[in-house]
Amino acid sequence: MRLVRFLSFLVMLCFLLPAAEGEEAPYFVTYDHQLEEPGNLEIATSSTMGVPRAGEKFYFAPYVEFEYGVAGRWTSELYLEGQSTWNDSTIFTGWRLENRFRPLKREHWINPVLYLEYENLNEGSRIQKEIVGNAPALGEPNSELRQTHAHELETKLILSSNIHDWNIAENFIVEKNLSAEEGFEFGYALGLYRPLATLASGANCRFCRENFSAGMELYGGLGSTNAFGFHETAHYLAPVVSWQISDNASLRFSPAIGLTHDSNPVLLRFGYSYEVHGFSSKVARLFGGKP
Amino acid sequence: MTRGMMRTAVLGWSFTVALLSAVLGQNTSYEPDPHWQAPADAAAQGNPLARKPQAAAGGKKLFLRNCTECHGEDGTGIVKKHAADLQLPVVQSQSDGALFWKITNGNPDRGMPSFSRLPELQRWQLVLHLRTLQSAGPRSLGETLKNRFLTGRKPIQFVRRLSVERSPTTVSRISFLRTSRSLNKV
Repeated sequence: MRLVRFLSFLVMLCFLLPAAEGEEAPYFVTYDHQLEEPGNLEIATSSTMGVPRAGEKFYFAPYVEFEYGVAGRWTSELYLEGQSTWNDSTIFTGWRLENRFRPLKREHWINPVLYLEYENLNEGSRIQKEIVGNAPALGEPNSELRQTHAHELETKLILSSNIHDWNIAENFIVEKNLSAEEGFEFGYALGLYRPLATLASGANCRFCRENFSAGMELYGGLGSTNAFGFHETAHYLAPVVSWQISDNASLRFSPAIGLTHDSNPVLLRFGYSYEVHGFSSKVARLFGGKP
Repeated sequence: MTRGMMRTAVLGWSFTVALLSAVLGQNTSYEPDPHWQAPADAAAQGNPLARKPQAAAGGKKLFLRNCTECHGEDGTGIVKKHAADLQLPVVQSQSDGALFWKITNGNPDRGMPSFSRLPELQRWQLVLHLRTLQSAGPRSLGETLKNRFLTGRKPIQFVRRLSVERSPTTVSRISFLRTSRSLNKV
């Protein structure tokens, strides 16, 4: 019943908000070189649903993301995440603090971005915002998983190019669990997408092709320094689509297909994001300061 | 994972971000960046939509969505955002290619974001719309001041700026002094 209400609310929201152009990247896992505009705050809520193999349980892992443009070449994000497993329980699984920096000022053929993230999570985390190392075990109950905490440091080298309205992005990931001797874990994410129309119409339309973007992601783990390679790793191929429903809001959807036995057969991802323009000015005004 | 830890994370992040925003805040007065120049080959590029003026309507829509927050609906720029007045000759005299390059690359150190995420044709549509801002024609000082009041600029600051940026024939020194004096009284 709650789900029906929530979906009705989303549909109603789509029709109440003014229409806009499609320009939000539809990726869930891959990062491109676009950073948040300085002073803007993006609030996004997304979820990852894992369709299990026989003997495993269905899970739903929602997360909330606050993305803030600190400066022209620096974006900071805070994530809060949880997880709910069918016939088990719902738990808070931790938080992440992420920063992205663009070392180069101008647009280039390939645009590098440096990424640094601190994660304070427990083993129940299932949002799979990145896939690194070996595939996680899915059979254990949440009561046991939540007992094991991990402080992790993750870095990414993000390379991204815009070529004839296509965005092509490559992410190389290295993660280190500071709480356990697991060595360094590796992963990758590749993505490409394109808006369905490149010329903006003069009309204020909501369902025009220009409001939609579509593409594909490929991501997975590459083992660790203890066992590097594809053995017991998860890999996914995921079509992605986004719909810019208003000047501030967009919806994203991606059904990811598991490519190896250690992957989930299917991961369903949904995302809704809302952009607060001039957030820093609004906060400054609230406290009587100069905007 | 306790609720206390979650609260600490949220508060810590908010505090850090607020502090950095204060330190890295934008300037309050606009001066063109002499180092922000399009390379010659980029500046020489022609607008592929030049023969499709009807595409400017789409450009206006894009402008209202992406640019008005800093440049205002009429493109005259909001001082507190340190944004350029797009109607000024210093902007309008630039080639289509140079404007396209500036929209594409942005000038992150001066608060202008890159719009490379927009498809190429949409960036050219924005250039088409910028040209229509030029043809809006000169406005009376009173009308312009009224617009400024509505967009939140300080009147005296704007009058001073006008006197510097517009030609002396547009705003005479006498009218500048009179207007400044009367506005200061207010």
